[in-house]
Amino acid sequence: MTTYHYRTGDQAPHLVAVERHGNGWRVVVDGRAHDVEARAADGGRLELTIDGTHRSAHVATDGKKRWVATSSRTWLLERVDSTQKRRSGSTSDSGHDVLESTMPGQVRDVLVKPGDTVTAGQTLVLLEAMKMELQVKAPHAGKIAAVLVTVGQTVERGQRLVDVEGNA
Amino acid sequence: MPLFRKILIANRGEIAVRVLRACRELGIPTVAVHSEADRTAMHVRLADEAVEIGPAPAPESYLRQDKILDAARKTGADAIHPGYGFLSENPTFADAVREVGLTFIGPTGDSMRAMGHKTPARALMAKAGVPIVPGYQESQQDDDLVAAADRVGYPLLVKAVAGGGGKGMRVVPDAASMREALGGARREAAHAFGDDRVYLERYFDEARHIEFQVLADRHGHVVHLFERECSVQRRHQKIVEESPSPAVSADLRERMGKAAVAAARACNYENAGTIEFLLGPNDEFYFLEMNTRLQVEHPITELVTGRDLVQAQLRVAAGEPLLFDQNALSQRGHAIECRVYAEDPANGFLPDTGPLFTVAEPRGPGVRVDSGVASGDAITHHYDPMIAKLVVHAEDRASAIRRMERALDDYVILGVTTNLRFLREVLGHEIFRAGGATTRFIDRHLSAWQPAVEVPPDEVLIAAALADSLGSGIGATATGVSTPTEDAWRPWRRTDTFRLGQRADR
Repeated sequence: MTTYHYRTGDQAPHLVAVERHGNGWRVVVDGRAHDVEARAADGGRLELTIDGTHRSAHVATDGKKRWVATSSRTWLLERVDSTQKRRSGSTSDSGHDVLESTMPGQVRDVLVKPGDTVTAGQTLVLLEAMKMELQVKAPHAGKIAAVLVTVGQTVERGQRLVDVEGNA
Repeated sequence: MPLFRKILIANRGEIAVRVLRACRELGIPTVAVHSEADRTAMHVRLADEAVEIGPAPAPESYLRQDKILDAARKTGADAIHPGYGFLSENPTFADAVREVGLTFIGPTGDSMRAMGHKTPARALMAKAGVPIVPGYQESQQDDDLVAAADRVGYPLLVKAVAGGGGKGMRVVPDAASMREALGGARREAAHAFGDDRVYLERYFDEARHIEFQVLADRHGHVVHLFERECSVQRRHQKIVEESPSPAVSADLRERMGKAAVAAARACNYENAGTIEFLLGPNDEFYFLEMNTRLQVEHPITELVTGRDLVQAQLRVAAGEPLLFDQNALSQRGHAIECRVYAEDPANGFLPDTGPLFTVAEPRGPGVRVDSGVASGDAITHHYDPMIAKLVVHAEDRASAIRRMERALDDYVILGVTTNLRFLREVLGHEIFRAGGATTRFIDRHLSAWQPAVEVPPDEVLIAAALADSLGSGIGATATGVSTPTEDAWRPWRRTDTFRLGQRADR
């Protein structure tokens, strides 16, 4: 299984998990599962059958940008890393980063406690949704100022998980 | 016997391509000229020969008269088509082409000069009986101008004689602000053009921009090919044009057409030209200026009249008489053109640049796309950011609008921000649909337009994720897709080893 995160504008990212399933794919978008068959045609065109309905899409990749045209619309997505880094409004000047969940799910494990020193990229929290695991990692080295969730808790997309104090 | 031995096209982009195609249809070999940046541009790809004439900036290439004439001499071209923009309305160039014994496909330098300066053109039109915007240009004394302003009436415009692009122009609401506006316009004009002369024109707040296409040959024939409605503008540039105009009655059309023909005759015009009129709310119309060249929006006239304007230009330039007279011309159905730009309508229509990864143009009955770029090309900051002209023709206006909406929906352009959604918004606006748009339409009703912030439907995210999956080769073979490379989703960098679209079960 592979997971991808895409954002449009300044909205919270969407989580897409892709895995092989029979002759096609099983694609889970923000917790919604779809059976998909895909055929790549010429010029970056994808012929998709999503839950039995056909859709044509043109896709182009430009660094982190993903241009997708389908059903008379063109979308510009940005592919982002697995955790979205967003400074909370009240603490933006004091070097805090509040990590948020990028998908609705359940907290499977919390690997740090307040006061812990962490390194950049260290896994802090494990989330699970639709049998997919997501590792929430430290965006930079620092100290854990607060853990805002507990193991087994259900979280919504955008819900705050951990507050990391340190240099962004 | 072809009209010419070989034609050099002194332009680039969609208009160069348009002219090239007309030449091919008439069996005339073509020469493209191009800058360093345009070595593989579409007009170069489609021409029989191509000559590089300098670096990317237009003043060092497409505006270099000497290099263009040199290219014509070297390739044995006997005629030059200037397209629009660049050197198309430069009388010195038109004269220079003829001086070396070549044919300039356009009017004489003298006709361009007669129409190229605002106040002499106004005087010439007035003498020919063509209505001009009420105004005053007989004196430069402030006291005379202030006195004349009362007769012209407020609100009025103070305009620089040497003006252009809105510089040295002031809208004056009342007599109290007249002297101050005069001073301001003079200072700005002196600074911008080195010429502080001004003149006055009545100001029309809610007016339409209506233009008439004319064609004239060397044998005394002048015809008009009816009107184009060009009121939908942003930053004083047209973005949607249509023909016929929903505001022009049969009677008005006849009067304006006669004025257009009189205007062309007054400057001894030859070849294709356009007379621009301002149309007021009570069917009063006034000459604004003449464009002494082919217009960007000429296709809508071609569609409603069934005449090929570029081929007509070539015939007339070769000395042949026009193939039709006024009585043979009529309007059939309704045509609309949308100018598709790489620009951001939500951010002041700022141009965007970048690679065009994918361009998939709409098709179907009554749909015409005049484009100078294709997938794999780029929009650069060196030239106009117009991607294409999307033109539709249908039985009536309502059908043409529906056809345009469908065509805009079908247009796929990946790689740059475009105005496609904004054009869709214009077409869907109740004022446009009612045929009520004036030149202030976008300013008044759509200037604050922002694309709706929407959550992408799942199919969009599925397409992106599968493209990323396939792009990195994950499970690609098992889906019936041969394993593509990282470049699979970048037709920009496609190589011969890239093989998509093959089914594994074949």
